Amino acid sequence: MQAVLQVENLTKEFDGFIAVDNISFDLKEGEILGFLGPNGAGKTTTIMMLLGLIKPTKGKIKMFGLDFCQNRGEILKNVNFSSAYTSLPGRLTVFENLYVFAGLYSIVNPDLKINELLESFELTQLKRETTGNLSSGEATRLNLCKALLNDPRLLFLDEPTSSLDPDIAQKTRELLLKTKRERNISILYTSHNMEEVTQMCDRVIFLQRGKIVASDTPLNLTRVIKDMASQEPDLEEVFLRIARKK
Amino acid sequence: MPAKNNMSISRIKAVILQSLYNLRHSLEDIVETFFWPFIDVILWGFITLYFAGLEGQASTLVVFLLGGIILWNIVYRAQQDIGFALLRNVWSRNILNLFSSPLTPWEFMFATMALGLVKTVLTLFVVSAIAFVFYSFNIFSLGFYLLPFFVGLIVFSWAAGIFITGLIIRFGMRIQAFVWSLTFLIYPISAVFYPVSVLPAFLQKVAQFLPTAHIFEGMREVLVTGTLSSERLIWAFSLDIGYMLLAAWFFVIMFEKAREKGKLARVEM
Repeated sequence: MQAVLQVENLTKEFDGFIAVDNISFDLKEGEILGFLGPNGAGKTTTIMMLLGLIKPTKGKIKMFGLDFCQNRGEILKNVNFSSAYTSLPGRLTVFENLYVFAGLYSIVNPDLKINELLESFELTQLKRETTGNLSSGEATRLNLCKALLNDPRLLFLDEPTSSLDPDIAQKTRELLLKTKRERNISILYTSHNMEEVTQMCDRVIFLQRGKIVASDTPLNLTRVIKDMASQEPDLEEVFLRIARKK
Repeated sequence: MPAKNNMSISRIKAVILQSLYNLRHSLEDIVETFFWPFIDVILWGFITLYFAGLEGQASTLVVFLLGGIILWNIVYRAQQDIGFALLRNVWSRNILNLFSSPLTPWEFMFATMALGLVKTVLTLFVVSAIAFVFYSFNIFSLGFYLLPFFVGLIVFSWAAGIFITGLIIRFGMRIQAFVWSLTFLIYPISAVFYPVSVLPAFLQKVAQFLPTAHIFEGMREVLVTGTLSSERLIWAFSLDIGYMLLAAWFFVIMFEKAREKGKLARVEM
């Protein structure tokens, strides 16, 4: 499989504090890579660098074989992002918000694309609803619609299900997996829900104090960190052992 | 930001559309655009009539003050429009969504200026109509000169708006009050209602470096004599170009600094 994202020696230093420390990894086509670590480990800073919102202190980012710094505009047409910590303007309706972003991503035939996504995420009946009136679950699904508007080849999802009830969260995960299978999207996925990461991710990277401290499949990591005889992945235990290690 | 991303009409239209949708749903935006200019003109008009009646110079005073308030509204509204376009996205936690798309900061600015221009022209027509109905004052009696005055003022307002946006992106929401207040800092020395010669000597020197002061002096010159010395316009436009270039340079520096310091990702703080 071809790597859609290649990160080499990426470092970010804020006034003497090293938030991300010389990390290197790649993400292959159609792969979901879990990006895990305790709060402050450097996950969000890394994603912000991958979106061009934070300037790396050093290191190289390549997406689709192109240097990100030199080709940011072209690359971002094929990338999208959704986070539990962002929202769309509350005064605009669901449709208006999506229509604005369809313009930002230069989508051809935006009405068709928007209707298709609203249907997939069971939001069709809320099309004319003011975004500020949506429940947190509905708002999260709207964020995901926005994130899939441009049929991205690479998707950054920062705790996308953190505000959802278990039922909607499960539906959202299933929908994301289905979308990933159908469109062969590569996803960088952060979450504090280890069960979710186990279900979603082909591979995980653990970050701690800005460094990558482990990287493998959920099952292999469980075997290395917890018990070689494990038959089932147990990322919760892996997370706790890594996070508590001095 | 890297250069390899040409301006896109689709993205500029999308930002304009976002503001128009917002205007449609937001009563305070409509109020900001038309209500306050309306109140300004009404209030200043009556105050002027009262004082002018006492002095017995009604017509000249009314013309000067109403002309001043109508043109000042261009400065204030156009600058505020740019700041508010960014702030609305910060308030709604949409900045990361916007700038993680292919949208460039300059496309955002360009869209905001284009829409601001339309809104300012509309405001100009509305307040001019009010001034005409209530006080028989016709701002269009400035004739051809209204056009360079308008352009000179709006370019300066855009420069101020770009400067303030740069500050907000770099320093975050603690700077947001500048959107409402910065132009008021130059209000007293812009010769909006009185000539520069009224100011103390050192402020007269400062006023020479404000395009607004040259334009408002020019407005009074036209209203009294019907002519305008080209020197005033040359000064105003030269300063406008200078401030615009400075503001653009400042904005690029602030945007890059914000990316370096991680502030763009936390601009709402």
